[in-house]
Amino acid sequence: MNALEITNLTKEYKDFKLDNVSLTLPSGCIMGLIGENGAGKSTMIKLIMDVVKRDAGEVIVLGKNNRSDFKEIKDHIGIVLDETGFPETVTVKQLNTIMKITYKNWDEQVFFQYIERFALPQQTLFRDYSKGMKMKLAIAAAMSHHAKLLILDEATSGLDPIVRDEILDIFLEFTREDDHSILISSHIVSDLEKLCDYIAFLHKGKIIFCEEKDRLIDKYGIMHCRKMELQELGENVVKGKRESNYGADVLVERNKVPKGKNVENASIEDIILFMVKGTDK
Amino acid sequence: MKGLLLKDFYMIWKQAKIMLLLVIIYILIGVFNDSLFWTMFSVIFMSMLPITALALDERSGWNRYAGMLPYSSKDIVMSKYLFGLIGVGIVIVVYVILTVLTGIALHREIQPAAILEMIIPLFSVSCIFMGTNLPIMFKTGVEKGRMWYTLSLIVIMGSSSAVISILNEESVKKEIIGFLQIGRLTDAMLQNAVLLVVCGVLLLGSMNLAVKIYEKKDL
Repeated sequence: MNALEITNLTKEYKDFKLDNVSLTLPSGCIMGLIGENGAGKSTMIKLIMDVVKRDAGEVIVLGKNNRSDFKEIKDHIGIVLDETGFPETVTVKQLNTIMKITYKNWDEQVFFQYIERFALPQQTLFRDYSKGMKMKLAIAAAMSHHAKLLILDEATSGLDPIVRDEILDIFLEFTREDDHSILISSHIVSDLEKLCDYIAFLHKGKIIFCEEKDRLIDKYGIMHCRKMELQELGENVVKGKRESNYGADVLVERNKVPKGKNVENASIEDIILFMVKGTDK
Repeated sequence: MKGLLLKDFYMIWKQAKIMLLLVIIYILIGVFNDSLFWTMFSVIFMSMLPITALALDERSGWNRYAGMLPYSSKDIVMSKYLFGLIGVGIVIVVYVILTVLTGIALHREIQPAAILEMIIPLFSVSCIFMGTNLPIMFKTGVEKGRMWYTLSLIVIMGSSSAVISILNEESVKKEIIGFLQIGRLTDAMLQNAVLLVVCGVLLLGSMNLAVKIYEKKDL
């Protein structure tokens, strides 16, 4: 079963359109949703959770349409939002009591284990937490009701690199179970590169690619060439380029490059940056 | 829905303590001056609880988060009405206790009929306030809806005060009762029952409208 199936999802605002987005997240996998600010990542998450009404398309979450029986399905989804959304005047203990009534499978033992692991003060009001502490509390809440799908919107932003690394490990731990999956949006590409099996790149409301991370790295490479060589490569080989007076750095599809040419490995960040230039030109 | 009510309670508890103190002061002013205005005002004041809670929800981004929790739009909307009704219930209980205590202290007697006569109108005013305001707050948000609820506060307070002062005139009261021929046909119980049914219909209609508004809203 797929954890998430999105087909032709469309939502139009006055000045932005999420345009015909389709993607599939298989169970047991982690998909990273990458895109610049305003690319439509949060809109997509809101559409998946049906808090924003779509204009067209279909969303299937854990095998169920998000327009029917979704209340029941939401019991199996852990959510972390960029703005966490917790009331400003609650404490950890109060949040635990609220969530215990909210989620059928809420596990307070797990919750307080995370609270201790993240060293979160229990008497402090939520509004007095730092940005990083707020995010940690949101992650603890999302991880404490035995969810099958985690949907994380910029969950690692605002965290220092050490904590970020620890949290990425927690997410990796989570997907050790076959039926556990994660959709995580971020613009910190290095986090997603470490974590994800699949990468979906959203740019100006459109999916530029949605592929397995390893396939992407195998598929694309970078060539450093002179202008003459660039012209010889042809349009269908070049996916993006950065030109200077001396030559060009070019993102190429490896299997289309003539034999004998030196092609270096490209990171996910390289692929995205080159592709954005390719798309915007 | 219990989780949502509990969240509202935690969120508003500090403010509610001050509000409750003010309610006690308003009711006491009303009792000592034999003025209904202050009692009415205290009920409307507590009817504003769900609006205060909605404003805090907007500020923290809770609305969007709650929409992603295992709650339906109906749960979210109904919890606010219920929260308001609980607040109003508390004011009415406080009103009864204070009226009984001051009755004993000042006149050495309790007037249960007079107290009961007041409860339904107080409840009705709160229903009108919540019933007319909450759908608008769900539609526009509290920030944009502020003008509306200030206006409705003035209109409801003004009109209920006017109606009460008119009805307090014995000659007018007799004329109205005579005109409606309700003196013999109906008793106070029936009038109150009708008033309760009207309030129930208003609240249910308002709730349904608010749920429809909320279901269509992008959070």
